[in-house]
Amino acid sequence: MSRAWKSPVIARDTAPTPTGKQQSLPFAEPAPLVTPLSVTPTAVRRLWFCIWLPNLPLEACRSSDEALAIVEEQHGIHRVLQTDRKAAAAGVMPGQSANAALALLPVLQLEERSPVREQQALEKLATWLERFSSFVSIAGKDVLLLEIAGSLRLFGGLPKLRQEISKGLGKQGFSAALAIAPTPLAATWLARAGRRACIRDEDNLGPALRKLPLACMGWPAGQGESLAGMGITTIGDCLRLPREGFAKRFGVERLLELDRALGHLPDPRDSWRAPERFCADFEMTEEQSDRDLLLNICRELLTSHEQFLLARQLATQRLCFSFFHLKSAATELYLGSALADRSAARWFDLLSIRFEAVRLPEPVIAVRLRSGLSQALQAETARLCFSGAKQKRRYSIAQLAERLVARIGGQSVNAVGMVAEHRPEYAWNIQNPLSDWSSSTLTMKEGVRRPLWMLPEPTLLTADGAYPLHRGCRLTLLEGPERLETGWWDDQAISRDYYTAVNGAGIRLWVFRSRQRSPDWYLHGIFG
Amino acid sequence: MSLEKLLENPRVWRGSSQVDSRVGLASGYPKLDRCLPGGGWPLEALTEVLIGQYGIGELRLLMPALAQLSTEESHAPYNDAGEYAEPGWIAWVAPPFQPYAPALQQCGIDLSRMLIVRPKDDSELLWSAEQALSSGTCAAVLLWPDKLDDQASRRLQLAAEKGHSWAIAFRPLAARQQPSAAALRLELQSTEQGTRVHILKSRGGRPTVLDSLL
Amino acid sequence: MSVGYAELHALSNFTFLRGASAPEELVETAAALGYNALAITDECSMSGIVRAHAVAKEVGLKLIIGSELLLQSGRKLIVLAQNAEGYAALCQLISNARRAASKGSYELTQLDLETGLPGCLVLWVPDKDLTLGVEDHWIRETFRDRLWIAVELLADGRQREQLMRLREEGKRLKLPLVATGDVHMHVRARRILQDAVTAIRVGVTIDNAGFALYSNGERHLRSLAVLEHIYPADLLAESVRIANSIHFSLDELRYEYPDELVPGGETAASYLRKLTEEGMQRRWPGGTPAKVIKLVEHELQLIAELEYESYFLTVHDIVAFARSRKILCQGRGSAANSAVCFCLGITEVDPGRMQVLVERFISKERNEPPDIDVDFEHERREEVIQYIYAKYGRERAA
Repeated sequence: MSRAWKSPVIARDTAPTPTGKQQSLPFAEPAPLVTPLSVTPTAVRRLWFCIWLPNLPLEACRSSDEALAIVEEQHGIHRVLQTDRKAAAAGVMPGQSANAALALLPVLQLEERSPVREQQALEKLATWLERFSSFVSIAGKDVLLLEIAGSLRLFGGLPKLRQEISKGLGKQGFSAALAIAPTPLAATWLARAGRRACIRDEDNLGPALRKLPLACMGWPAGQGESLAGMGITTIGDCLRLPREGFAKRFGVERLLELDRALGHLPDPRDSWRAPERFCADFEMTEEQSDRDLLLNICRELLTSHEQFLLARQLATQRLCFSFFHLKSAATELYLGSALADRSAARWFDLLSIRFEAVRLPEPVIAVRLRSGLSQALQAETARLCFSGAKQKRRYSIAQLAERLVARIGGQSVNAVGMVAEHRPEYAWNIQNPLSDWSSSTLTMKEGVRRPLWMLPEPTLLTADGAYPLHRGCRLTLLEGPERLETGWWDDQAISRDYYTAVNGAGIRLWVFRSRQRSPDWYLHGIFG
Repeated sequence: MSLEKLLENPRVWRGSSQVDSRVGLASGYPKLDRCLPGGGWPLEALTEVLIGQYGIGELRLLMPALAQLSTEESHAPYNDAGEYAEPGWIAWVAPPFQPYAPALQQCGIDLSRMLIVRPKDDSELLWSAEQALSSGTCAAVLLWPDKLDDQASRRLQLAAEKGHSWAIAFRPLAARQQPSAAALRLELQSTEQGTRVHILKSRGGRPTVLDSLL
Repeated sequence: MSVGYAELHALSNFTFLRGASAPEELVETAAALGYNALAITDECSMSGIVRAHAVAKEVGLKLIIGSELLLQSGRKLIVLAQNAEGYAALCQLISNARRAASKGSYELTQLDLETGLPGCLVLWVPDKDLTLGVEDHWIRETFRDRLWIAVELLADGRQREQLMRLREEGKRLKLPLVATGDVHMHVRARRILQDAVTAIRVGVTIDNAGFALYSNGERHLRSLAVLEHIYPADLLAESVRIANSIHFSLDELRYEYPDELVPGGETAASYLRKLTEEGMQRRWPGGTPAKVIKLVEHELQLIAELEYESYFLTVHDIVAFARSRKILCQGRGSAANSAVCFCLGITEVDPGRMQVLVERFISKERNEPPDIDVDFEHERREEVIQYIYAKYGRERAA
């Protein structure tokens, strides 16, 4: 199945037009990929990486300290399906009845096989595999496929890619058989056969497949037996049979499967995508470092993203742009928004502010946009809004805050709130200006004066006898003392006498005299 | 309510009878208001407050007006869609110390509508102030720039107009010599009798000195 | 020592979850500091008084008895008993207030104070408004020259203003001012416990208690030197003046037994002797043994010295009632050592046939009233209870 290429539309007069092609939107059809190494308009060179998880029922379970066996009900009896090493060491074997297994090993833990759990594990793995390829497919109850032709350059070659995937799988507790082949089925069969094959050329495919036993095709047991009865034990044997007769005997479908495996027929697969997430790539034929160009590419991706979300009535709060380089690891740029949104314009706004600060160690060869979990558009994390007008305002302050944060950093924009605390330095706290918080019901004790300016920390003052000095002048104490001795419960006890003081220049200061250790004077605030 | 009473309200905008008929926001200090054109702080414009040191009442001078902006709906700026919205926020850009929440609350500021921004240099500072002013969401933006040249003050002035906000820049006394696009310039000095407010420049007004205002 | 001081507002830990020190600790500390007097004024309660009284006698401190009361309207008063009459009035007030509300709380309104509490002195503790509104002027009218404004300067930053405004208020209302300390603990360091019980009382963890906690530990018994520094001399002198005008000690109190028991023409002692002799004749129709007579005489003398006649008469009255209704009853415990109890029919231990030692039962040295336990037939005990209620009154039985 071939597809017409969509040429990129970049609204720029003067910028060089990239000669890359944009991936089409991953809506319902699988997205075809371009292999930059050899662009042929009709044939597409693809490479499929198959991961077969023979122990998935076992590995999908939480690992336990005790021996574990998975059981499945067969004809009314629970039989052991898979065992872990501990159980196997004790003599528990697949096929035994659950009772027999327990008799062998009383502490054995038995778990019923759960297809749901296995599917979830597959989906989780598929999500993880998305970082290696934007085309991941779940091809059966224990098979995952990735199309990796486009990823080879990005990951530094096939051996490296394979190693990373293998390592990652191991880390997550899965034992897998891997195989690489030009067609999905071939890769699957090779993996199932336990051949750690790596076939890149279709020409080599035939010879490799012929040697494989029938079992790895996963055909129904009955057919397998029939074939065995005929002396057919390998795929090669199958291929030698006359096609028509084979089709009549075993069904057209089987014949077509063989064709597909050998690459004689296309084998389109559905790309698996976690329904809420968006992931799209833009690959270039040449490395680029023109930032304006890159921004435009990002804008394109954002537009696709917006349409994707629009079609699903969703919005998102987090985006990740990945800029791939040839030698260095990808540069990632995360964008977050307090309000879930899909507007490409708004995200682009944030991006352009952030992008200025992004350092790209190398020219960029591809850009990927992934979006975080989406939500229904109505959800808002800003404070409750009661009327349409207020909603607009909330939206605006959120926008302002985001713009500020995008440029100067999240730590530098905040709000303050009051805390019910006698200790002055703890009587306030920093708040996220956009989240829902309310200290508005707290009121300060009446009658006591507090300075508008608070020093980050009390500063020691020199003293002239009993009087504190500020910039060489004696301070005159006006009001006080307000004795605060509290806070013993969290090791931040204070014992201080606070005074309002004024210096020679008429500045009103908030000072205190410590009653702990040495009776030093400190400046804590300035009455603005 | 009689017409005179209505017209007395400084927030009533009168058409052609005055040269500069823009209304001012009552400062809470009648002596000051009398000397200011519009009877109060110039809204949608830049006010500069020149001080030699902190703590001589530069914030106290502004508090009554800020408190009013912080809580009142009627004087809130409206957003670009032309809708009236709830009270605007108050943004503090690069304050020299920490604005102390309990004290602000005592002065009547609504803490839930305050934004404190700490940029790392002057260009970020001016950019942040401009953003805040022009966004239409802030009723007032206070800033403490190291330097504010004529061009920057003009930009702030424009941003304040665009976003219908009140910009207040605190500057050192030396800035007196520099030209500025601010609609109002005050200098505060601390004397034995209290704080002296010197109105250096105002739109349509004359320079005035007010002793012991605070 | 130039300045004297009497603390007239102190809560012990008998003001549950507010006071943090035991009455004994407060008394000992006040004595050590050289106070002229200390008033224990637990909130609507006299619970701490007895312990305080015992220790005060030991250390030689004048103890004043009083109570802190919060009216429904929000006004806080300290009522001090000036004499026995005042003490009685205060106790009555406390009882009424507690009865008017559910267990653990109390309710006091203007009506309860209409009696004017004769024999009591009253201190008004102002709240943060520092003024007595018109609706509370009745307090001034009711207590007239027995009313003061309590000035509590606790380093909250408002002292100067507070003192000034209360002086003005005192002039306006024509009331004198007195220095008090709102004492919640005996030493400053006890504030940690005081914070903890406050948190418990409010029902929060301590780091969430916020402004419910006091901001400092000033509410303790402060030294005279410190007080001199904080309060003007006239306010301190007034506290001493008030203390000097109080002449009441718990020692003055005796238990007053009901006098319905004694028929006309007899005294409690004579009636008891009469009943005892009647009982002796019943028990020994053939003649009372000399040993018993001697025991009885010894006991009656002891009882007379300690003035416990009414006690025995009361028990006898109840037992007699029970027997008249053929309700089974039996005395037990140390009362079995009493020959008089045997004669009165309260116990069944025959002193003639056993070795009894009346000192196990009552003695001068122990100086506490005897304890006679009488068991009544379970199924019919309600009859006895109703008899007691009917004869002595519900309020005097427990």
